[in-house]
Amino acid sequence: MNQHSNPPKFWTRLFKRLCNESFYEELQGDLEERYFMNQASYGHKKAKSVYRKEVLKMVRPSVLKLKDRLPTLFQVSLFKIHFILSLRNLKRNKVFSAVNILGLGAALSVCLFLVNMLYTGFTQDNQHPHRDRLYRITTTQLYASGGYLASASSPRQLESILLSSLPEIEMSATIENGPWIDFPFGNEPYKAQSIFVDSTFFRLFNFKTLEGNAFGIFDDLNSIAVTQEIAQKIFPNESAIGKETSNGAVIKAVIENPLNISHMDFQVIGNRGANVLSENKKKAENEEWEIANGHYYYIRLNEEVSREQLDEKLESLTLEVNKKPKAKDKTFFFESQLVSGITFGDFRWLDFNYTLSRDILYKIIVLGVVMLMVASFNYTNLSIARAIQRTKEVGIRKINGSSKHQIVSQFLVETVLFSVLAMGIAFMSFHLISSTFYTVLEELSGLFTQSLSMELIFWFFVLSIVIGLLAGLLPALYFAKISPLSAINARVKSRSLSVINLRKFVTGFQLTISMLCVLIMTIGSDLYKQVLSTDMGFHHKGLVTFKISDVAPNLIQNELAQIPTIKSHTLTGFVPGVDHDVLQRVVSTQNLDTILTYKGFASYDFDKVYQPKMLNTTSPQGFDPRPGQILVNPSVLQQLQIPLDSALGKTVMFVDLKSQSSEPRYIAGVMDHFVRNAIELSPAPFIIELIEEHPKMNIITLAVDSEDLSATLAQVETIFQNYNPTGTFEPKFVDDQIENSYTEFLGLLKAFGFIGVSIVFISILGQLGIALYTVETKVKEIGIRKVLGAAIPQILKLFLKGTTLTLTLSFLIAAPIAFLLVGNVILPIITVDSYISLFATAKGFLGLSVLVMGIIVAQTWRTARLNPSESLRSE
Amino acid sequence: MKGTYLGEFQEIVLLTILVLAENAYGITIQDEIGKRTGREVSRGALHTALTRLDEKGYISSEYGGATAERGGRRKRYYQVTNLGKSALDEAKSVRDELWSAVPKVSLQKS
Repeated sequence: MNQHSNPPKFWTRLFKRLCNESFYEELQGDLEERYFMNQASYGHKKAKSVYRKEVLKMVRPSVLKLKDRLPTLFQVSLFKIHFILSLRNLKRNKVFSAVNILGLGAALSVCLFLVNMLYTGFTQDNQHPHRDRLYRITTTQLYASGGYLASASSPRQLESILLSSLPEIEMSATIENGPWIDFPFGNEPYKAQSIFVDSTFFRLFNFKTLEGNAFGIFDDLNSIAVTQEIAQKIFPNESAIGKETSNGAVIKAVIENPLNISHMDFQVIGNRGANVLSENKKKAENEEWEIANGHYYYIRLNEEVSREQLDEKLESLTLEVNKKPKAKDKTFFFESQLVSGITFGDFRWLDFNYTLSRDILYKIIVLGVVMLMVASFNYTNLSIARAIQRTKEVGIRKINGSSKHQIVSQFLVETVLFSVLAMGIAFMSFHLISSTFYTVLEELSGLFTQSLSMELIFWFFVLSIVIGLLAGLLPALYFAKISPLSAINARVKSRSLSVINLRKFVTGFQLTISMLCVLIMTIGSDLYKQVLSTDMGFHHKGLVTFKISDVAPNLIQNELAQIPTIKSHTLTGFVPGVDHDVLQRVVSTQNLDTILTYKGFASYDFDKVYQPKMLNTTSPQGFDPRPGQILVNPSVLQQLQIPLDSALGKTVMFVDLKSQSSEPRYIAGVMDHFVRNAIELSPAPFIIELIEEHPKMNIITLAVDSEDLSATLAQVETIFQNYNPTGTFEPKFVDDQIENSYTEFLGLLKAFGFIGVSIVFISILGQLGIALYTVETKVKEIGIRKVLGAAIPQILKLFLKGTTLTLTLSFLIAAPIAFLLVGNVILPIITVDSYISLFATAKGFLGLSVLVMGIIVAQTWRTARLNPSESLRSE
Repeated sequence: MKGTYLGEFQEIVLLTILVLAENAYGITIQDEIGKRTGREVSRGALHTALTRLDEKGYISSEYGGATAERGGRRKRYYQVTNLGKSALDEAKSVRDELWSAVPKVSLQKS
């Protein structure tokens, strides 16, 4: 009936561990007595149940072992105390805290931008079905000279071969670059980028259809789909379905924008069947294996097939193709590229506009890490400084019985609180700045999404807590170990880690970092100026260009010749330093070497306006208007293996890409260092064809007497309106166009500038913080000096002497580091001749010194003017 | 003086100790309270109250006998001190005054 059993062992042991020893005996005794009583009356099950409940109810302050248990069981209330204390400290040192939080907030907001870009980049093209089996087939063309071109686009002939010899392909889609599609939009039609696809496109890729039916564009050859961007821009406030382009193509569907979600960029999608090629082009394409015609092949692999098998097949395909008789003996190499790995993957020529290659990824990561490190150093420094200020407080706490754990926890709570507040600032500034950032950094806009995902926000929150913990750990541990007496007395000890030395180290380190940042900034901006003012190989200052259309150029040119303030003018098809017109195939008459060059059309007055530097010319007055004259750059000669001395007058053959016919041209001059495009890693072969008129020539460049510029332009405008009433007169400076053409480089410079400014801002804030703290700790010293008779200027001089020494020392440390960094990271990116300017270095040093000394003078002045009796009295 | 306030439960505990006279220890106090007031009190709650009363100086205690059922552990017997008795008197007189001050009419249920 009533079994005799003992009280539950586990609960007994638990109680023994929990209970304070002084009354364990009586309580345990009572519990057991009660247990046996219950067991006798109600049976052991009820007795055990009552026992367990009683033990649970024993978990209360009066019972528990107070001394050792307090931290773990009372974590919550201790945290609350520390939190309140942190808030109080914050309120007491408002300026110092603000400086600290702002600095970290700025850094975190920059990191937020960078992480946003990384996140966008990495998740691009992740939304397509079976993305682990989705590949792009790319072609690399190998040249006889040993060079190669890794291209995203492949020859047209590859398509049928791929489909017939690769059964591993489950589904494939070919994308062709289409022509500009005109939409009626105000005065001038809006030109939209198009791609032409077949119906597998929408099955292979997941682009949401927002309106209409995407498959409907394959019903006939006159239907297209547009992106939401186009729909909203051209047809705001109404449905775009059923609307037409300028050529009568009907919109059947609206697709979501590919920006940010895919490496592709397009504004119009058309039916591939409608991308009709002219007969000539088709004939040319069928004979040539041309990789530059904008064909992109995407496939989905069958489930059982591995990537290795695909690559093997592609290798054998490569061998097969290279055996075929193709014009001009091209050698190809076919590879697969995982579509979700295109962004931040290897760089490929002829890829879609917003594709970003791996080196951009590295740049972003490096910038972010540098930023974060600088800010963290800053933050740690300031928190150490803040902590040092409270050495006495810590000593008193320890004497009153604070455990090490509590001291550490106090500091950690404070720094985490600060960093969470900084995180809040970062989010706010992100929202505020994100719209302007987007427009300023258009070049990188493929990577920037304006909204933050929840996941991102969560991780950033975690990051801010981690930063706070790390920053607070160092001072916290230091103070936890410190002996209370020495903390209170703050006596100078011979040990290296004494408080005074720590203070000095903190100030010096802060200054060195600030100096480093300022130096990098000044040197960097000087480099930027160098790049902008680099010698382009031709004259470009003050030149103005404008486009003409629908009118014979010579009519306008004749009128222009009559305006006295226009010194000279020329008609071209390109803007020097910015772009070129066409590609030209050139054959040398000697050895039948064929090369592909960039070409621009220019009229014979070209040299009067642009005055290109020539290595040797036929006539100094300009070019003899003999037909067929061309100017070449040394790279052309090199590739055609024509020696420089015998270049003048040499004949080369221009081969027309469409008709395959060839015509002779005569080299009239060799340009010395003509920069066709501002930033170019190795100068590509470039030819200027001198010709009076050509349909592609529609840009007139004016060299104007600078005083009368606006008046002259007004006159030109009148002429323009006369002949071309429907067009818009848009004059632009050549200099501006050149500057704008530094697209990627400019974007990177801007990003770097933005980050650099933030870093400098953070460093200055750090300086301010340190200055505040330094002066605060010297209030008494200043008071005593005043009492002893020192005048304010003398006190100032004394403080500045120490500062000057620190500044010089920090410069000596920071300058070599800055030179190293700039030399190894920035200079290699810049292709024009550039150097580290000593003048800029000096400017940086002086600028920062003046600023730091100014801050110290201002702070010291304020303190020096205090009544010494008051400052000495207060603690 | 602050901290000398006698809570309702503490008052009951004191009275129970007085009722139990010589035999006032944990188990008996718990049972007596349960029997007289109908409130089931856990040993832990009782311990807290006894600790508070001890801190205030209203009770004193000493170790008593050990038995086999308690695993050889001794009991702790409680007595009410003079201070405690005065506190009880005071509490009672406050109650009595309040009760007598209530007009008879208000006590009638409406």
